[in-house]
Amino acid sequence: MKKLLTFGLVTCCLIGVDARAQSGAPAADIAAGQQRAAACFACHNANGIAQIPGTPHLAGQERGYLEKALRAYRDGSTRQEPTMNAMAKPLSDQDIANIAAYFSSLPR
Amino acid sequence: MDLLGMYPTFYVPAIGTAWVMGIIGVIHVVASHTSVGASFLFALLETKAYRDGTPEIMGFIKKYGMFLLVFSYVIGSVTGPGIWYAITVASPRGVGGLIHNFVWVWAAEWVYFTVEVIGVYALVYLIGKVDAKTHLKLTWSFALASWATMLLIVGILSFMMWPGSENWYQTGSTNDAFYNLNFFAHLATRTGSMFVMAAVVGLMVASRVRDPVLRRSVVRFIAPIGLVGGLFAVMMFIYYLQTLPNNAVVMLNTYLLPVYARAMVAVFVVATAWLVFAWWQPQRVYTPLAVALFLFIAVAGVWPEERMRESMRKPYVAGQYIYGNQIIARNVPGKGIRSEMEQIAAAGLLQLHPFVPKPLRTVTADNRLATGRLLTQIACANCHALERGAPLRSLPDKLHGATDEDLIAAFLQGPLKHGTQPYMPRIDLPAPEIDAIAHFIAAVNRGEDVTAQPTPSTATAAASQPE
Ligand code: HEC
Ligand code: HEC
Repeated sequence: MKKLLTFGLVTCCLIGVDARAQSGAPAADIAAGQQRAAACFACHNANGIAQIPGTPHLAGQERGYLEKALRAYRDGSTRQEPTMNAMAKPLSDQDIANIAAYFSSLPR
Repeated sequence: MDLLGMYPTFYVPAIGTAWVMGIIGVIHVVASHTSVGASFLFALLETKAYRDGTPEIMGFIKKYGMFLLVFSYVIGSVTGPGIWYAITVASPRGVGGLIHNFVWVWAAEWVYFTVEVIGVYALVYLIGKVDAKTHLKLTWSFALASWATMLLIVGILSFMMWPGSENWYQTGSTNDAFYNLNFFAHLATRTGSMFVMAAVVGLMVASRVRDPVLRRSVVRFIAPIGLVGGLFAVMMFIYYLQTLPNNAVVMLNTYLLPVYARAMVAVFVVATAWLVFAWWQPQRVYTPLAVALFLFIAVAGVWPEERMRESMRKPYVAGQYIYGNQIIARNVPGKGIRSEMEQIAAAGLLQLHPFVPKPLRTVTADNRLATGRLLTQIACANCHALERGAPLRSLPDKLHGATDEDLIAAFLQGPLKHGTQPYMPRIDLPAPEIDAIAHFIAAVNRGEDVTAQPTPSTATAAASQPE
């Protein structure tokens, strides 16, 4: 029984990892995300709590949502907004994963 | 290639020309508000002396008048032209715009100022030398002339914030500019504060009066005037806040009130407490205490007020048509002024600014740092210091030490190009200039030496022959 459970858990994990690899989502590096996001802090702040009116807080936001939002800004077809379209344009997939991980790790 | 009518500007490291202006301005406002307020205190005191038949009060007026002559008028007259020199190198086009609008208003202000200066000499000198009624008339004329100088300047200062309606842009008329939306609120606020300033300085002078009866009657007369003036100033300040443009409101709520609100409340509480105390205990108005409170109220009260007024006006320096970085933001048909935004977006600042050294006219691989530095000085440095940790909205710090050039460039390509930040100019530059600016800012953030350059470090100030 114990063995079966272990086996089950391991397969689950493997499948999980496999699924991530297949979807192309890179493993995230929070420190690299923080470094890359310095220019974003001009508006969203280093603690993810924005002060400028009309600018959303990003602290503690759902990670997948942040990634999706940044991709959408980068593509510019579904989310069109002059500030964020320009800011997301230079970001690679890896950057997006790292930055999303950084902001989602912050306390709200 | 056509050039734009731009001038060289100074760059003062760390504090920028903005703070240089601010420091001179604060000294000037303290001196001038004191003298305008004092002129009314004199007139009121002298009227009282005349009615009650108490000529001893004239002794106090003479003492205060001498003090004003030596401090207020000398300091006020030195710092007034000082402001002129400072704004001419900080914001030449801002000054140019104001002169084109207000040349006769300024001329009138000078006439009143002359009357005021001669008035204060005559007033002090003629005490006891002419009959009381003539002297009283003289004092009232002096007070009205003093207030007139303030009224005229306030019309100009409040136009700098904004005309408040579309009229002026179409007519270009001096009246439309002068009687702008926030003129009355601004004038009333300053009129109230001038009584506070005058009362606080008056207490300093009263503390030197030996005769206890005279001191008591003077202090009990001055303190309530200061209190009423302060209350009026606060009420009018709240009205003033309602007359501001949107960019000022955003700036106020986002950046200014969090920093300055506490100081302003503290000054109000301390000033009120001090005036009430003086009224209650005229004999305890000791000179060191009076001087300390004057300094506190002057510095902690006037500095936030002047800094706020200057900052709230961002991104413009005057009339919501000249940006802080000297670029003309919109057409003003009434004055035949044309926006420069499109031309700059197409050809770039390096080509259009007359005072760019020849080797920096185009961005190349070798001169990227030098062109970046020059462009940042032209486009941003009127509002941002370029050193890390500097007090005037340090640009490197605003970008949180970012070293990624692509993302700094993105900030220029998105928010600045589209003008999404209400307190910053729209800054739309060609791609090579954006990259040069990003390269420069990233180099500052990496801690590199950005001044050791083959090209002149006096950048903007170093004039070269236009091509
Ligand atoms: C000039 C200010 C500014 C800068 C710089 C900036 N943002 Fe934004 N950001 C905004 C504004 C404003 C919005 C809201 C835009 C909208 O209405 O779609 C936003 C939205 C977002 C959102 C979507 C949030 C949500 O709840 O949907 C994300 C994620 C984001 N920004 C991330 C970033 C990242 C990452 C950077 C740096 C690469 C960055 N921002 C730089 C102003 C800025
Ligand atoms: C007319 C004045 C002015 C000019 C010129 C100007 N800025 Fe600003 N900038 C401001 C003000 C005001 C703020 C608000 C921050 C504050 O007051 O602390 C600001 C804030 C910023 C911020 C932080 C983000 C934000 O929205 O608060 C960045 C980044 C920035 N400026 C970059 C630049 C760059 C780069 C340039 C030149 C290309 C520039 N600015 C030119 C006035 C100006």
